[in-house]
Amino acid sequence: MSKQAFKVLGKPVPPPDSYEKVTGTAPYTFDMELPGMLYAKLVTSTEPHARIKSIDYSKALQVPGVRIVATGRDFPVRIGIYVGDRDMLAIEKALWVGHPVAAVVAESIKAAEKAIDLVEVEYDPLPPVFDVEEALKPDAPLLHPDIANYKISPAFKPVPGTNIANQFRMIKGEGEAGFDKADLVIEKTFKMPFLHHAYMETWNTIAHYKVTGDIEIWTSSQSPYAPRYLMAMSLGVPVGKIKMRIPYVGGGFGGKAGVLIEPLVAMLSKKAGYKPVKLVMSRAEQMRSMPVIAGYKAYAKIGFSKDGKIVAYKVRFLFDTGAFADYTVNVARTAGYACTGVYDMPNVYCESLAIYTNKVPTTAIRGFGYPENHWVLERLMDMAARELRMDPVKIRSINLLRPGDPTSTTGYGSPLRADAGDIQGVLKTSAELIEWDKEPEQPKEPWKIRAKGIAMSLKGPSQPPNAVDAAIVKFNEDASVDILVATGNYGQGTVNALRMIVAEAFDLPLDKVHITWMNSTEWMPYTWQTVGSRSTFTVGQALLRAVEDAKRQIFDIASAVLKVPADQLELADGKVYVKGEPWMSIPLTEIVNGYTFPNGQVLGGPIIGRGIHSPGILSYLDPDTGQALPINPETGHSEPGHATVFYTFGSTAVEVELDLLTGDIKVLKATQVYDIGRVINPLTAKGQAIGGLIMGMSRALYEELIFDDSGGVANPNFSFYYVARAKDIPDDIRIKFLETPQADGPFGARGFSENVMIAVIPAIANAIERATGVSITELPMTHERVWRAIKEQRPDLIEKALKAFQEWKNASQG
Amino acid sequence: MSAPYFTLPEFKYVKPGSLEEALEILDEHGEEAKIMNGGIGVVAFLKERLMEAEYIVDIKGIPELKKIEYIPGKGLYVGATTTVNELIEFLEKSPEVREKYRALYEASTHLADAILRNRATIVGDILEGLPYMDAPGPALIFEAEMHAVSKSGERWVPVDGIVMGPMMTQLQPNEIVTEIIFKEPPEGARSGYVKFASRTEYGIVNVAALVAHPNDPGKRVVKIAYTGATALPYRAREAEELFKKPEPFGKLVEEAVKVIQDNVEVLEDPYASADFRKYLMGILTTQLLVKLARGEW
Ligand SMILES: Cc1cc2nc3c(=O)[nH]c(=O)nc-3n(C[C@H](O)[C@H](O)[C@H](O)COP(=O)(O)OP(=O)(O)OC[C@H]3O[C@@H](n4cnc5c(N)ncnc54)[C@H](O)[C@@H]3O)c2cc1C
Repeated sequence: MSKQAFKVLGKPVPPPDSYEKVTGTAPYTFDMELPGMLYAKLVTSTEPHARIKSIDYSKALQVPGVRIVATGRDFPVRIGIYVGDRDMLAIEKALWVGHPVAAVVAESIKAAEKAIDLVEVEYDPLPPVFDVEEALKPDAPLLHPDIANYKISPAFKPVPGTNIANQFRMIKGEGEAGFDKADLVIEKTFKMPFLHHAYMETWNTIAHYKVTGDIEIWTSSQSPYAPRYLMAMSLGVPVGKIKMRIPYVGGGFGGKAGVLIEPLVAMLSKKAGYKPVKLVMSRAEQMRSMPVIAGYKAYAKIGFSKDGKIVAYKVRFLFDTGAFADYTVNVARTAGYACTGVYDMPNVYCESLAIYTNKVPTTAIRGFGYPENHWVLERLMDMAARELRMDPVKIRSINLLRPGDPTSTTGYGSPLRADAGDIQGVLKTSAELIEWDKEPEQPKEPWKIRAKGIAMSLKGPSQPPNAVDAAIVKFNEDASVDILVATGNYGQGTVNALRMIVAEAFDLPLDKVHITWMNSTEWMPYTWQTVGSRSTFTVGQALLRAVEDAKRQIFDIASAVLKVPADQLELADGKVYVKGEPWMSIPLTEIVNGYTFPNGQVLGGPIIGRGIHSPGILSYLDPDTGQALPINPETGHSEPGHATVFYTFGSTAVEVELDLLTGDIKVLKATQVYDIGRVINPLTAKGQAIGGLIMGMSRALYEELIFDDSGGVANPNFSFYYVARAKDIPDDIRIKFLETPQADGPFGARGFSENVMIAVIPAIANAIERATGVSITELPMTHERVWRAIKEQRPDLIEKALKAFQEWKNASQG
Repeated sequence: MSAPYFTLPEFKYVKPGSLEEALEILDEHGEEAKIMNGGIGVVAFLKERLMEAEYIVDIKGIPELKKIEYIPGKGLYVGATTTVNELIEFLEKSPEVREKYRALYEASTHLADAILRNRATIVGDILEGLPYMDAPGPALIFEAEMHAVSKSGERWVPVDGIVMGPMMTQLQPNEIVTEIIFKEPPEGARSGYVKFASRTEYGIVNVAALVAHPNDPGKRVVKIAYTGATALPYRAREAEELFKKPEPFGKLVEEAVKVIQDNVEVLEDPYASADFRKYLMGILTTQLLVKLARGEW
């Protein structure tokens, strides 16, 4: 189908929820009140690592309005998605400053907040460990000595008796031995700090454990099924008894995937006498006590031949998961298996460890291991380009993976499908858009330098191989369609894109396709999770199959009425036509609830289409070799196993201005180029590309959680945890989408909404490297860090800048 | 800003309609009563449990505390409850006054954000006493004074030295500031403000400076003040004195920077080391002074 043939796809369609959001009428969990509701508040640890000797809450119970106080003794169960290491309230030990140790439930938030100050906790301090390398030492204090007894998902491999929550290794070719053949070897250490997701809405949950045993929950989760299942598993309640409802959600960025605080609030509701209980996080609580984003230290080594080909690559990621690694084990594992980025490398050894420390726990994050591994690899590519005196575009181009070529494989040993995307085209387009070959115009102050930098990225969804999705379409009496999907709508625009796909497939105007704001396990069919840029691709396919299913039912009825075989019918403009004989038709309105003959008899009934997506081609990776396990032929697939259902290729190029005197970096121009297969909604696609650019910039230049001496988060607010603001956004953003369709994608589309931030981060540092030869390997690139890096690596540059500054100053005398 | 609370501790809220009434309440309750102006600082401190009060005395109902008046030759009078946005609006409508008080105008537009500035006041910003506030620097270079009134009298208190720390001032608990005057700058003066923020919304170094007759040693006046870099607002008086010497401006800038860097005690925190702050004070001060002298600011 050519682009012009579409009626809905490719048009800029604002997501309907935008109107409610900008008018302040969109209801979030935070806004919801139920009759008889009680309010919970957490008491948190003041110790980084300690045995809890006693908790005396007698005084708290005397505060008027306080109903109950709960501690870890009340619910000593662990929860989690991959490594079930989280507790709901500290079980015997406090593991970080901020660890919830008790919860007060009261008739008002005011009473609860008064009461938490009256809960007396006596601690028996244990030695803490804050650094990953310290945590790896044999005599390091252990955070989770019982890890062998936790629920561990297949594909994960904690090392009992250590602080290693997961260990992943991948060996391709000769692994480390491959360095023997290298002409150039570069070794560097990289760092990324702990970060906060900075979603505008914090974690908020209302739970009502009813006397019937049904548990009704309203929560700010990304999607409903994962938290429901994980909660049922850990609490031992029947999964069907839990009704997980998700109203509007104020952003997620991966930080609301998996299970949040739903199990705790449900148990508080039960303990408080089957009353609805609400627990909302202040920003400070969210940043000190709830999961954030893991930092890491990475030791990397890369070998090149003289002609610029990558010969061998080795990287060892030491992810700092904080006190719980629950979801982060998969971020770390993904950084490991995707460590080779967009490049074809013969010899690879990647190791990725997820390591516990006595700091705030961590969880999933937009990009999920890819911003992390690209920060290392895309920086190394530019360092090599400089050493080899090669153009950064060229050195990338000659090393890129070759989709469709069976000899060009990912780190885990699988070739890319031929229709995976135009990887060379992405690089070329990005370079063209930034006018790569044109020198930037230099500012008049000689202490400022403008430079261009580029980076590539790839990203696919990190999901278990058996993550499946379903979708339902049902008709209303006016032949409009309701879409039933459990895909979360927290600002990405995915559900709106799904609506456009359905409108296109049914040939219905958009206003005849309805979506709803309230997501729930009660009426939406199963979807594994809304994460990983996967939903347009996976749920989109399920929906297209649901549309086909519905059409089959429609044609069956129409065929009987029009007396022509079903395969000669088509659906357009809200009518069923006989192909080639458009005067022979029945309006859909006369079919959707069955066709009624003039005598009142009805044929058929309500039309409901269902469809699924099942990623048959995925298999686990062996945790010791990182290679994909062979595929079962029973699934109808024969190719080697894959880690993801698609990859999307991207590139960001930037022009930055560096002030050598202050270390200030300004991003002046940026390109965002992605091969997304099909642009379903250019408006929200552009929105994602801009948003991702800003998020990437923000992580490159500003964001960092700062820890105090006891490992507590010292900047749990947006005054001191700075996130890019309107004034920081570059004026000149050049976005281009390539559309190389992927056969199984809906209308060819691939997901891309995480990819958009990945290459931004290294591209900025690459520009600095190119202009000054100063290698920055630690984030964020704060003024002082940049200034110090220049002073250490290129003192001559600072001297020159200072001299020019003196001259400028003295020119004023007269 | 790391406390977990949504609610405020308990207090009695009073909103007197006249200055007399307000002074009465303060006199009666002493330390137990705290003045609330825009409340941006007071509410935050209460929420953080860093401040306790039996009475919160909201002074926004006192009509005479809201005013802006420029009296040529004397200065710019800004009422205590005048918000930062009201000041910005006034200065934008009176370009001549704005140019006289350019540093104040620039600092005001950099202060917090447009929404907060609807409540935040200049007087409150100075009296809140956190190291990185934007209003105190310009106040120092314009020799600002606050008019403090109590039941037992009234006095003009120089802003330089009024603040002793966060929420700590030289004022008595029963005194209300009714207005602040930014004195008439020297003839021919230009002023400007630099807020250098790094990973926080506040500056790690903020410089306010004023320069008059840079190339005429006899008439030359230079004033320099800092916030953000130092625990308390810092007026670089020794450096200012240097500019009385009959030497070229550029050379004196260099000397001044050295004197400042040698004398000043700077902050060190996770956002900037002491070294970096000192170094930046040099760069930013030089840039600001030279540009002011050349008319390029
Ligand atoms: C998110 C955020 C960002 C901010 N960013 C900035 C920034 O970038 N730059 C900056 O400078 N500031 C910033 N601030 C601080 C803010 O500008 C100040 O809190 C505000 O200006 C204080 O003024 P107010 O009128 O609200 O004072 P209040 O909070 O009402 O009072 C502050 C103090 O002054 C005393 N006081 C006030 N008026 C009088 C009076 N008339 N007589 C006697 N005592 C009085 C009060 O008792 C109290 O001790 C920020 C604040 C927030 C919350």
